[in-house]
Amino acid sequence: MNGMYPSTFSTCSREGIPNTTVISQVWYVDEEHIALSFQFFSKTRRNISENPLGYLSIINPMTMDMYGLEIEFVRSETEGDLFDDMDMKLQAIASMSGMEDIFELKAADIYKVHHIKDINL
Amino acid sequence: MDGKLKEIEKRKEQERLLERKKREIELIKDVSGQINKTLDIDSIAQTMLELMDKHFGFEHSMILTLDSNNETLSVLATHGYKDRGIGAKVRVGVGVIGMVAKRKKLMRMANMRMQMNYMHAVKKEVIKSNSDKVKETVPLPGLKDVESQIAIPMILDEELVGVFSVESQKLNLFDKEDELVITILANQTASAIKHANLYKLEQERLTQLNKAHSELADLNQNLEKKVEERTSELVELSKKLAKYFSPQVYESIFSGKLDVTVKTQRKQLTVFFSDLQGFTELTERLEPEILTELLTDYLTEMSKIAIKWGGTIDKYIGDAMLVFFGDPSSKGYQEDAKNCVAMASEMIEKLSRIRNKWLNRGVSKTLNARIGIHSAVCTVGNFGSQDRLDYTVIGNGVNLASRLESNARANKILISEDTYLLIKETFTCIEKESISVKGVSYPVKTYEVLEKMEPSNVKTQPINKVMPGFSLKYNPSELSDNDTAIKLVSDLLKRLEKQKSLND
Repeated sequence: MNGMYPSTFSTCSREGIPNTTVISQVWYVDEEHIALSFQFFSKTRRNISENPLGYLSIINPMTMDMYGLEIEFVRSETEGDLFDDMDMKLQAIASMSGMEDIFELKAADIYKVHHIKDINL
Repeated sequence: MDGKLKEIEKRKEQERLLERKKREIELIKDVSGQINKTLDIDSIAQTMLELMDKHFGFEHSMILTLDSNNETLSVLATHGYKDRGIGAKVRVGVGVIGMVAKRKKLMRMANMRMQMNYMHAVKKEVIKSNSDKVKETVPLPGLKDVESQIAIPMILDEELVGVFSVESQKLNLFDKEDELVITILANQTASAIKHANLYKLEQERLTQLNKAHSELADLNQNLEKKVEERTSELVELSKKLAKYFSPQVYESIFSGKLDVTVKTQRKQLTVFFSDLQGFTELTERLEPEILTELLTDYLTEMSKIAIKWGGTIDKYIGDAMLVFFGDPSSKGYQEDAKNCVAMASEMIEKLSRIRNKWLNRGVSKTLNARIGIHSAVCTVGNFGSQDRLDYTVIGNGVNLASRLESNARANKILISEDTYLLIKETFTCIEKESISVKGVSYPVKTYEVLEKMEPSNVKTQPINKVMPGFSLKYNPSELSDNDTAIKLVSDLLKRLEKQKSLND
């Protein structure tokens, strides 16, 4: 799952206005958790802070199978192995494009996975 | 049925794991064995990359080592690239390899192309508002359209030695299970490279040391040679200089007994003066070349004799010679005076031989020397300025010796009374007319040296006794009428005896 194909993440504001964005990386944390990188203040971040539930669709790059994940924001990590790992990869890519001063991992956002749906059927 | 299937599945999985472990151990053995065979860094790196390809199918890999500035990495070895790219640089902190070097942590990157596209898209947006923060895209060594990359820090004693990087255009390179063994191999390579580096440094130092050693040896040899050259130059020079000094003076200066400074002292000396009678006339009659030869011959022979008797040759003035005894070394006044007279006698003897030699060569004008000797207290030492010194003797004594010389008969030695008193026990002399000398208020008594007294030649010794009422002068060499002399003496003897008996 790490560094997979672009995924789409859908969130919803307090008023019930949905928003879908493309995210480049979804991180496997453990059997019940995934992590998303928090780099910019965005509509997604604002929506999550108002309503922690979201819907993530991802693709297994090996099989091209698609899955839908119902997830809920748990916490933001700004240090630790996971944060370091995400930060390192972000910096590697950013520095290759001369963007290391722009891209900065603000936090690793941990989400609990409530339900996985195989959407290939 | 279901349970049995699961059992078989489980066993298969275990077998697979066991097989894998076996392969890993073999791999580690293989790599370790190969890279420890050599201390050549390039071949260590190359071996490592080839073995990685063999075991894991890593078609494109490279090893970079950290430069001594700790800011960049250099490509040490590559495998599977068209352009080998050895020496290409990567900044620490830039790109996958740079980040791995910075964080010293393994990194696996997948779908890099997509991420880069995303990054470029963001860059286009950002550049509009934040252009000052955006830098140029950095060209990095490696594949063009790399899809996945794994970079492993090569660490030894917690220090980064380099980075091992594998690239692929495929999506996923290898699974997490392989990470451990690859990390072990990377660190093993780090260790081998470090050792090889140390060995290389040691070798370089050894080479430098050897070079320095041989340079030093060369220098030493040169120095020795130079010192030898200079020494022989000095020896040569001092030999030349020796000719300008009397051996005693030369010896004194070079042994350090006589300081070469302006320093004089009063000393009892015996001064010898000689010149050739009618030499000026000779200079008008002889060719300069012959004259030079003649003079050199004469002075050389005379100097040899002077040196033999321990005289200090003060100077040559044309055909004249000034020699003194008593400085820098003295054997006592009397001995000095005797040696001086002995020297003069030998010179006259030698001169008669030289004379004959030159007569045979057609120099008809005979060579005749006049010699004057005087013993007196003189001032001797280094005269002159700080820059130019002359070791010489001055004083009335020198003038008197010169005066005696000009009053001497041809091939005779005329001495003063002062000298006579010192040598009369050894040499037979006859008194000559007194001379008056400028600066000396009284007439100076002079004596002519006849010969050296030897026990065997008592017969030939003259008698010269004077007392009131009686004077006896007898010179065997001048006496020709012996009979008359005997009659005179026997008559005198009879008369003396008769007078004695009368007085009694």
